Amino acid sequence: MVEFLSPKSKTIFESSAFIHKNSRHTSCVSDHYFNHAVEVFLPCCDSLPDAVQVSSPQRQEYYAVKRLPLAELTNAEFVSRFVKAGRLYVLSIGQHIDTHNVAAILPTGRLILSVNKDTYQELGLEGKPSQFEKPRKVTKYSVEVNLVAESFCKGKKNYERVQWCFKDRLDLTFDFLLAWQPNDPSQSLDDLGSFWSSKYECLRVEQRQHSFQMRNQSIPVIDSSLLLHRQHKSNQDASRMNGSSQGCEETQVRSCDAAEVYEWLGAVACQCDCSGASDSFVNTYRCPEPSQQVSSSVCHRWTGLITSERILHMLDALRSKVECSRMPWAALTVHGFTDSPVSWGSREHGFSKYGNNLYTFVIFPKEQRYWLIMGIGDHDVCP
Amino acid sequence: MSGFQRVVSKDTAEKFYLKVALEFENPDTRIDSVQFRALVSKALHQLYGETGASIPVDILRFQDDTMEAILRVSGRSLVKVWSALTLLGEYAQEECAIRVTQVSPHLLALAVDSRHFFQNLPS
Amino acid sequence: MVRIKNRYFLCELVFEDAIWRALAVNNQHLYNAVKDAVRQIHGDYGAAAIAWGLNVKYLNPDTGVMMIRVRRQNQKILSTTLPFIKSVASFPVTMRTLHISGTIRSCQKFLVKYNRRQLVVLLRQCRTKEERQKVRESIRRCTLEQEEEEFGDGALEDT
Repeated sequence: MVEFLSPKSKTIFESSAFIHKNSRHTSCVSDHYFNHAVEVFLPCCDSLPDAVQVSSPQRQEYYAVKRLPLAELTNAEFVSRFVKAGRLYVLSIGQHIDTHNVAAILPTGRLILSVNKDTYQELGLEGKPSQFEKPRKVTKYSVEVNLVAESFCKGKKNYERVQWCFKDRLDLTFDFLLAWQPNDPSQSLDDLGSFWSSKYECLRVEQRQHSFQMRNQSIPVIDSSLLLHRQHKSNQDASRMNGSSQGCEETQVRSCDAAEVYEWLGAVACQCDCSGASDSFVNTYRCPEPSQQVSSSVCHRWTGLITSERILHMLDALRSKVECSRMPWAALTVHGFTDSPVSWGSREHGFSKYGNNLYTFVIFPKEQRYWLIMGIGDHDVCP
Repeated sequence: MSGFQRVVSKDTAEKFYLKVALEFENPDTRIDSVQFRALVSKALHQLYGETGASIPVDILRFQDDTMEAILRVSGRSLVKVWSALTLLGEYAQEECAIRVTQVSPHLLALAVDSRHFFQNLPS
Repeated sequence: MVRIKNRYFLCELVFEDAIWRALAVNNQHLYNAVKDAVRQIHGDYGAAAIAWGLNVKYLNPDTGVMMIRVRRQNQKILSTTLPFIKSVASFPVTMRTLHISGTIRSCQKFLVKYNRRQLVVLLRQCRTKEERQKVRESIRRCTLEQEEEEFGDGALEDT
């Protein structure tokens, strides 16, 4: 049989507790800047609970600005009014990161440009080759400009150079998405819109919503202490060493593996058919065993540009909801942008066949435990 | 039991998922999921012969109205399925094309598509 | 200049009736049979991959031994196809792969050794004195190492 090389994938499974002192759930959410979609899956629910609805990004709006030159975004006035006065999320859209140029401003005040070789050479700003390129065959470069640095103000060399590069050397223009979380509560997103509305086409966009309910569906039974079956044995050994016989008994009950649950969550999100017989011609996929039947469950999704503060908020609401209700577990999934130049923090993100950067929290009521599953692509650095 | 556990799997993915859209030259032509599975088999048989036709493919979802489908294949046969679908040109004496819109080792990632989401922003 | 690397497959054609092999088989028939089988098993991709460099280099109509050349990167396609060849020029046949090597020379060496072993088998099967004498004569000729003049030892007779 002919064999071809198949692309690699990276998936990170973590099991921890929210109350654990080294728990990384906050940093995972807040470092993932550009969130395209948030999705919650709540089993044993008829409708979305109010607490979750209130914390949802539904009313958080964002701006889309068309054909905005980069020089405007690095303008000293814009920087002092918006970049320094809050958390600003700017991401270019419509351009593919593997073939075109992409620009983004992180809430930390850094401008990241991922440009191809021609643009890089014309631009004249210092950058470094993309780390996923082969040495001496580099076609992508990433340029970083710190907009909040002290040297970045009118009259300083660095600032003038950047302005000159974006204005005179190369007129880089993109369609941008902007979201802003001002430090001063008296300011609002409207300021951002009115700043440019005279010169450029600005649109105020609402988050798109999509929700569906499933009836009489089987959902997997999950034991939060068993992440993956490969680790099954070591877990058992560990509990034996602790001298707890109870742990031993628990591990003998088979529960669904994190990888199986992850696939199943995907099947639900895509509204796939999970009732395939093992000898079916069309589809052999079915819900992993052991499973339980629930009368109703809800899946709700918001799509747009969502800030990470909002997601943190939502995660907290969901945590308290799970703790005080009879849900066996709940899941929160956050999808990143395919064409964002960074994934987590300032880690570089790329696109090779696929450009996933998404994470899922599976939240359990017991001991505030959670599973965190992060899916990233070949051109990504492990967070 | 409040331990922290972290497992990173970075080998070749076990499963890959493809989101594809089928188009016929005659826009009124409609097929169902069983016919679509046969079409996938035909495409594989055409390019990779009998060894290709034996590749297991699951149709996780098939929408009759838009003729969009989500396929599940094993990671090692991804390239074969992808190329065979791309090179298919005809089914049941009618010209057709398959467009692969998204490919991912994570099924969840196929639920949203940020690349095509903003193309239809109101202007 | 980089050498094009090849693989040579030494195969034996096993017919139901030994008479067919003299009748039926020539290089072109074998070439077509292999190509059609590859197309069936590995489809358009396999057929196209193997078309460059596929060649029936040698065929002995007496013993039914043949040698096929393929490019090295495609040897897996050919080795998985050979068991599926069921007929050559509409005569039912089974292919037995005897040896795979990188040069014609090592194939030849193997074939000589193989044929010599076959002679011993033949000797055991002989019934009349005349036959036995003939085979003995052949074995003696082999051991004198004259075989390299004539590729593949044509002295082997049909049984």
